[in-house]
Amino acid sequence: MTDPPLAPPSDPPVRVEGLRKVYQDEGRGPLEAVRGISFECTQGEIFGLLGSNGAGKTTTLKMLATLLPPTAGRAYICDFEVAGQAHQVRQKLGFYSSSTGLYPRLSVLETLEFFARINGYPKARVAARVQELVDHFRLGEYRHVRVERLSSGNKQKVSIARTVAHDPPVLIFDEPTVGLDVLAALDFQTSLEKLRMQGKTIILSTHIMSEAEKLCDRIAIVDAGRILACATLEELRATTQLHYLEDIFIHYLKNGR
Amino acid sequence: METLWLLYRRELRSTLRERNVVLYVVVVPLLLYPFLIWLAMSAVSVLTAEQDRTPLRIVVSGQEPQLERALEHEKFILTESRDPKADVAAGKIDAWIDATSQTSLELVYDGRYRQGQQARYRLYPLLQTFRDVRLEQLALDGGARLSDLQPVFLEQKNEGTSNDMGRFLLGTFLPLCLLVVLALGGLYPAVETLAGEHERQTVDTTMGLSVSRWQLVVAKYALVVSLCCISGICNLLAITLSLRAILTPFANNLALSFGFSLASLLTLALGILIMSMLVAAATLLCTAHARTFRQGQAATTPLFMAILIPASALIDRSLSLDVHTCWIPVVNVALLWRDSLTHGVPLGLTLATLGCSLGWVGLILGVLTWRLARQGRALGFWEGSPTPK
Repeated sequence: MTDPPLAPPSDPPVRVEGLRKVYQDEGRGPLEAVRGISFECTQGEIFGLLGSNGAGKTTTLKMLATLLPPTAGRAYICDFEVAGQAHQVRQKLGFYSSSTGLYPRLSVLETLEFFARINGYPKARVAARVQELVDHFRLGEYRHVRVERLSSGNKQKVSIARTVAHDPPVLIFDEPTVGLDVLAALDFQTSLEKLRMQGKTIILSTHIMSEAEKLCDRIAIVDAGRILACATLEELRATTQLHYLEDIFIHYLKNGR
Repeated sequence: METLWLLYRRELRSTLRERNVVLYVVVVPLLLYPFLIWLAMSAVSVLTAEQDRTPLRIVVSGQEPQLERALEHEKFILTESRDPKADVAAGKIDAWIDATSQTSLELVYDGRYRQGQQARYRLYPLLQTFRDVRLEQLALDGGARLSDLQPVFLEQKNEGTSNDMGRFLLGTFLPLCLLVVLALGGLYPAVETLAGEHERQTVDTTMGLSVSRWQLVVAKYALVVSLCCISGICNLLAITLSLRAILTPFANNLALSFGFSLASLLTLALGILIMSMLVAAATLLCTAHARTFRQGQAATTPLFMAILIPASALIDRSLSLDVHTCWIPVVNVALLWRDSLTHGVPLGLTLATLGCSLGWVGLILGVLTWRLARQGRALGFWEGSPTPK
């Protein structure tokens, strides 16, 4: 993709400081899902959030995506504060998760055009941008097909395309390859690497170790709402004297609890 | 405005591609209600004809050959009975005419039996005519002249023109149909646009758009209003164009005309807009908490009844749009439609209805906003992101 040049990078594009989220559960009382998470992501980096189910990954990402208000702490996307400047944050962010479904009755073209325009992509360049995305994700054959009639793999492609449609500098992918077959997952990984090469800052939440090993520049191991470790794969290996990420993950979980 | 238009167009595209919505918003208003009116009129016509053909068993006491000939001419079955009163009560005969007295005629029937009621309905006018003839005969026998007997002639004349009659019938059918159609027209789009987001897991997608929450609500509200209006306009066209063809066979050779003035047309359109705004606000309020289509439909069913019950005001012909009724939501618009079709409505009352309805719309939208904000705070995404404590 030949994207227009990015705006001068704010350094770092993602800054999270002591983020905390407490849910009020009617039956169980206050439930602390995220307990003071802090991290930073630099431009062109894929930052992995690795954790088991219920570790607090999705809650953290939803707070970054302005879908959940933090109970405490602050987070900044391209210098915009997620709590106070939600509108600006959403323009700088592409958020993908299993809960961000596509509008099923729009065609592929309508979907991409809508997301590009509504998220502030310059109107005059929308048509070219949509064409670029269609070509890049090889969706030309399906451009006028409604999303509800696409296969799972093609829906996945449209989902990623709509996430990047407005060309945001920061992208969040929450367990993107869940439910995909091997080929579609590989396809996704290729797309992600291309996005990194374009200078996008990417936060990837996953519990698939091989995916994190292959893609992430740095990995944060999350458990029970806390970051137990945050480093490159090599640093984690050096610290734990373990080679496989799966072993490293289990090591931290056992020692962290 | 561009953002609003983008959101609205997206909502409209998605909604109009749902078959159920198109069915309830366009097809039903266009086809079903004219068909239902035709069906109802046909049923009434068939039942009336059937009633007139039903052979009824009558006993006449007293020597009245003139009356008996008239009864035979009207296809009544004349029979005999030793105890006609008991036979009427037992349902063995349908009516007994006691003409034994020179000064009175007594019609005995039992209202518990359908045939008894039919006998009363058909015999009473016939006996009245017979009574008049007998009185006339008695008077002539007593030496009176015919002209002296009828100083006052009773004649029937329908002052209503064919246009008036057409307006009267339109005023009877159209407001009721419009209320039903608008309620249905708002129900499905409202469920679709709110509960549908949860059902299709697009809530986070929509909430993650870089738009204000109020823009989302306005776009959804505009969607429901516009689909209600489309329903209403489809129905208005269908009823207006088809009513003449439907009713003429039942109109006993009465010429009917269904044209109406520009003022009536504008008032009808204004009423459709007001009612659409009210229905849209109310249906969105009812479906705000719904997470599934089923929950949404369950939530809007009582509302459907609440809209239709005030329509009973239309049955009361003595009720019209005035300084009191113009403050009652739904009733005021229904009466505005009816009165504008039959005899016109003063501008002041139209404006009062408009003002009152807009007041109600504002109130309901206020409650809706409060409710969505409260619900959003609980779920965490109505205000986007309030400042953390």
